[in-house]
Amino acid sequence: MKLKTNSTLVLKNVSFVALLIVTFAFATSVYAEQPSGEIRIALGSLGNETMDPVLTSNSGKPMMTPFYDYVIGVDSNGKLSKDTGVARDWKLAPDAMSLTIYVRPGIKFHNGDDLTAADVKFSVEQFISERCVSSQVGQMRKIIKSIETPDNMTVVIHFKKPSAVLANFLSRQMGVEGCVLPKEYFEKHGAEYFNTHPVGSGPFKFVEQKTGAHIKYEAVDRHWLVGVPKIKYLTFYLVKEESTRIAMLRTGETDIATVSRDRIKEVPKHIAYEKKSGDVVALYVNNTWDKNTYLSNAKFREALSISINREEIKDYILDGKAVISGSGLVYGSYALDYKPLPLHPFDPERAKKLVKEAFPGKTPELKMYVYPRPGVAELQRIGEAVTGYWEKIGVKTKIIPTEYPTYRKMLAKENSPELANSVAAMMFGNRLLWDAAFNIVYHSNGLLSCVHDPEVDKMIEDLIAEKDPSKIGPRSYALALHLNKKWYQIPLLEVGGVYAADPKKVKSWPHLSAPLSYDLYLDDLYVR
Amino acid sequence: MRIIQALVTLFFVSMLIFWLARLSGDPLDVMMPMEASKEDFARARKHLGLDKPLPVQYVKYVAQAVTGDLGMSIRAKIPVSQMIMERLPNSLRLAAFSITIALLLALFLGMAAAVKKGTMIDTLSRVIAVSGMSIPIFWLAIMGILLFSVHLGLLPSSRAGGFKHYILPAIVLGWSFSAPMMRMLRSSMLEVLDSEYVKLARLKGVKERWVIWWHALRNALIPVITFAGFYLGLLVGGVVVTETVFAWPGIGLLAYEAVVWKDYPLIQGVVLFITSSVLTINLLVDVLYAYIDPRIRY
Repeated sequence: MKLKTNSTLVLKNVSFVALLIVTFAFATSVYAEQPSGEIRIALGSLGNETMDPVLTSNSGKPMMTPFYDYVIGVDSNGKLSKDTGVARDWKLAPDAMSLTIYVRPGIKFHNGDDLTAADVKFSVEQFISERCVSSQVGQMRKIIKSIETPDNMTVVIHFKKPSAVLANFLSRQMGVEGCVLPKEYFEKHGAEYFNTHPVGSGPFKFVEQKTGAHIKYEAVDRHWLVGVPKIKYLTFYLVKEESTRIAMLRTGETDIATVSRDRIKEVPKHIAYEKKSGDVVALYVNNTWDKNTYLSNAKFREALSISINREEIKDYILDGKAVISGSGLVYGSYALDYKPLPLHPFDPERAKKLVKEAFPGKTPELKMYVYPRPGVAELQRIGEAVTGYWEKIGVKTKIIPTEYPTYRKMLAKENSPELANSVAAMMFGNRLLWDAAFNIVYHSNGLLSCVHDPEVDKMIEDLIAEKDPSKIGPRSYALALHLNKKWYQIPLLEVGGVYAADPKKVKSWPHLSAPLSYDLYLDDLYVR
Repeated sequence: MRIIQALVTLFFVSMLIFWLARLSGDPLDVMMPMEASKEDFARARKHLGLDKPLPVQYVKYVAQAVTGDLGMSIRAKIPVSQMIMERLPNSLRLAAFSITIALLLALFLGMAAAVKKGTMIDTLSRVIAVSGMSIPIFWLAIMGILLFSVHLGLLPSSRAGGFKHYILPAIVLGWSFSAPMMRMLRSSMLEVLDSEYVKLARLKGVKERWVIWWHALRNALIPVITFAGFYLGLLVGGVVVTETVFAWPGIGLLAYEAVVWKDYPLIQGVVLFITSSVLTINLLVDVLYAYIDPRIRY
């Protein structure tokens, strides 16, 4: 009896201890699952300062990715993924005239509504609507004819012409066009209300926005993909003045801030994360078809390119924080077999010889348009350096600082006299470009065309008409190579932003340079 | 009469700003993506109502404005009046802090300089005034941030927030705006202190402190009040450089953004608001004159 009592007692004690352990383990696991702390990011621009992705361009993307889910997912290497987007699968029709999207069940918007095919259809329609100003709107309008939802979880997008790239447009590889909006909530309250009371389905929900000041998000309890985010709050500050951003870093008022390459030394205690594969800085050679200009001469164009010491520009102007580029455009998404092009050589002696051969006894004179672009404050200095190299091979260049809208107007005008014998130091965003910049910049009928070459036109048209996604990468590569062979473009460098971060808050940021257009891949900061 | 004058001014300003805004460029050039075609431009222009003839646009704008509807920001798609009202408290509070600091500095330094004319205090006051006028606000603001925020850690470097957030921008603006007021008060005080009625007051045995604070200052203040009113109008309308450096979400920064983005409704709305503020404050200053100097009657 006594033995039984003892064993009961022991059993009770063991049970109690076990219960304690289980309770403790459960409590710690629950505690560990709770989001905590805040990450504050000071940026020089918050895009259009709108929470409606339809009303923003690519520059608003960093604020959209934590808030919205994308139709098509990508992995951290920028490849399209069936695991990370609203679409659990998608299929391009064999004739490339439609795209069928199968919506993942179980995704909810922040207001509790289920995300269904109707929401995806509504969102894509918004991105081709009259009110849309997103960066890819023009191209999407050219592709999309109609959208239907045969059932609650299936969307079929019909095209006006064959296209193998719409899935990419609706993914995070590109801009904001893949963001999924809540149809019912949007239609019930209207666009104006939605803009100030937005609802998404991403890992963070809206807390507040003060235009000109900040946007603040709070982690959702549990996101279908991310689970419980690591951090409780995510805040974006708008701080236009760089000195102020640096002061905020030094006083601990922000955890991350964009800092220019030459001022990063002012925050030695912070880690400088560099977005390596950013945008392309290149010289765009205007009116190459105009036989009355120096720039119609291929030898001369070659001389201009090979006289530039890109390594020197990279080291001395960009503090080594750039990658020398072989292409004037990031000619295709990395996800589509991007292969770096061979670099243009540096051979000033040959350059000098080529100029003499092309224009014996003459000193060619050029104009260089330079205009400020966000992210590359050094554009004018790069332009000045290039004119120095050209001076050495006997080419005189006058720098003309301007603004993009002014330059664009000149480009859009047929045979603009101001563009004769001119180049422009420009920056193109890193994005999928087959139906965009290639067509616009290098096709004879392009909106901003600087090349009139039937061979190039044919290559671009074939590229646009390509129905097989696996052939788009190689076609883009061949086209970019051809443009180099004819010296139609003078590529310089690929540059990205530099982000100084508090090492206590940001331990690592491995995918900042992921090949996603205008994307900071903040997932690294909040995914467990 | 003054109110009618103010309304006429507002009408002319609305017309002027409507046309001037359109001279600054086309908002679509800034908004539209590089790939946008001519059709995309035309579609966007139509959507925003910018395809209509300018007189039609102007009439529509005025008709809306008189009902209090300043239109919708082209860029943010938020009502302009809402954007102004969101920023207004920040600008008002900063203006109140700054003008208080400016007036206090001007009063004490100006009076001390006048009363202690030719002494070390006078020289020091004038040095402070000249410094306030000649040091660029941009530089002063950055130095203030470096000293008080980064090195001493006493004050936040930027952004709107609690009381501490106001101190640096208010001191920078206050010092800068106090300088001309101080110089004005000094010369005005010197003139008044030399006047017959002050001499009479002294002869009658009125205490010097009373002479200075009651008889002299009250009369010397009139030009300073005019100036303060003018500055207050500017401050409520926002101070672009200070607001940019301190990332202060006020009316000035909003105006700057509106111009950069060529956001016509926002430019028009902000300018109309600033004009209304200046006109209202000037009206109030006129009323204040009559209180300070009973000889003034309208």
